Amino acid sequence: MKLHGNAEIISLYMDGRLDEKLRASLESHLKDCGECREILARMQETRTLIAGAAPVKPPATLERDIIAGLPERKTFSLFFRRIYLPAIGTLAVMVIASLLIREYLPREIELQIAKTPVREQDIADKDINESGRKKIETQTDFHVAEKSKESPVHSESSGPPQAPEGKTVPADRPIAEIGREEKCIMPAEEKREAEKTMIARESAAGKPAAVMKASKDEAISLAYRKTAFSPIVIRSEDEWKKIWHTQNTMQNLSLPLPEVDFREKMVVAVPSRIEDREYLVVNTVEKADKIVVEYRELPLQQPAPAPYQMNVVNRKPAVELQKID
Amino acid sequence: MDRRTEFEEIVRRETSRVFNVAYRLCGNYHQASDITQETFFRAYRSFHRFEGRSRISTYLYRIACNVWKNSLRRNRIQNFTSYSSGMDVKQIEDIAVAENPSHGEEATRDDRNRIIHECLDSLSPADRAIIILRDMQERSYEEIADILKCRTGTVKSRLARARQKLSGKILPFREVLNK
Repeated sequence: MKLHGNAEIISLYMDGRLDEKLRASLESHLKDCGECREILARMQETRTLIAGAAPVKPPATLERDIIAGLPERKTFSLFFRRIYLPAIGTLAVMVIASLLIREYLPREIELQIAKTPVREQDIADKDINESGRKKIETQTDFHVAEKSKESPVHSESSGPPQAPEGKTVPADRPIAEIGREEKCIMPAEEKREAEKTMIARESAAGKPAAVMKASKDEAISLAYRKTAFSPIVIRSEDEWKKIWHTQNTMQNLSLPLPEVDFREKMVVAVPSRIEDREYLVVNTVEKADKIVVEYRELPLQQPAPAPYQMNVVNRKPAVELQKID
Repeated sequence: MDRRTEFEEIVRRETSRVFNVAYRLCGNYHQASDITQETFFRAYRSFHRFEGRSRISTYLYRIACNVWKNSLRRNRIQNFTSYSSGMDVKQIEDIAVAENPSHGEEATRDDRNRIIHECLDSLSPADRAIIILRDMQERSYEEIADILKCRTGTVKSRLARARQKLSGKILPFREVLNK
């Protein structure tokens, strides 16, 4: 280490902070070096002069003023600082985060969430079973309880539900209204089960409610209609968007929404598959007061067809299903 | 003894030392009073966190240095540290006369204080703080590092630099200061 002219070493030497070896080296150097001796002397004199400055007397009232100015300690200050404020802060962050997620969640992620993975279904089904409720089978899409195996409506049927042949669905009401009417047919217990299943699934998936594109009521009505194999009549843009979104989501697609003039037209959507049977729409006939959808019943096909077969038709007050052989 | 009583005892014991450090740092009698008051106020507010691992004076000096640095930032434009502005000399002389009838003796002491302040004022705030804490308050390197929140190595190098610079300023006044 360079000793000559090294003010730091000399300063440390002055304060007795050098180890034995370095101190000996410096003392040896100082004997021969007048310049370093001069630095040391100046530093020592400076310290003496500074240290000799007389202490200044503080104002006579300072002590009293300080004591008088001390704040009264509050007993809750520790609680306030350690628990209350952090709790409020955490809550605020959570609220802001949830708002941001709802606002900015990308559509791709939203679609992924909308598709319920099998594991989540299992969790939801397990929850239902544990609570002594009936297990409700579902499709892997849309969080919809598709069919209740023990449903009183179909309990006598060992196979899938049969299409209500010749049943006429009035087409002069929107999808939501049809859903409500169908729900009236649905037994109260089954309805409760379907609602519980929905809630359990949403909870298991940790999915924000806003992500659901259809409300619970609509989902339940959709489920019932699919169970009963009846057509869905779409008469407005909003309903059209919902079912198109469902169709795309279930097929992992994001096709643009086809334009339909709902002032003159309506869309008839027929489910393609109910359990182990498929339904193929063969023909759609427009009559004076109704639309007749002719379909054929088939065994399961591979690959699975699109969830709904949709046709744009002129507005009519009713839609009828007709099975052909 | 409750905490307030304990702290009041500390105030009585440490006020003079904290005031002197504040006064050497800022060079202004009134501002030194303010810094001292603020220091004790803050110390009391966080006194429940003081675990006694360092000396209470080290704890108070650290707060005093922070209060002083904050005041420097606030008053960056206004150079209040200049002792030669005259106002403070007059104030100290007035106080000295009021408290001690031997005016001539106090005036000589104030002359010495004025020179020392002018010399300290030529240093950077960090170097000034180190010189005051080491050569006036005789704090160890480790304590100074703790007070100024820096490494001991930094204290060593800054102290050497400050001593060299200060010697060039103060030694021409050695005769007056040794009077």
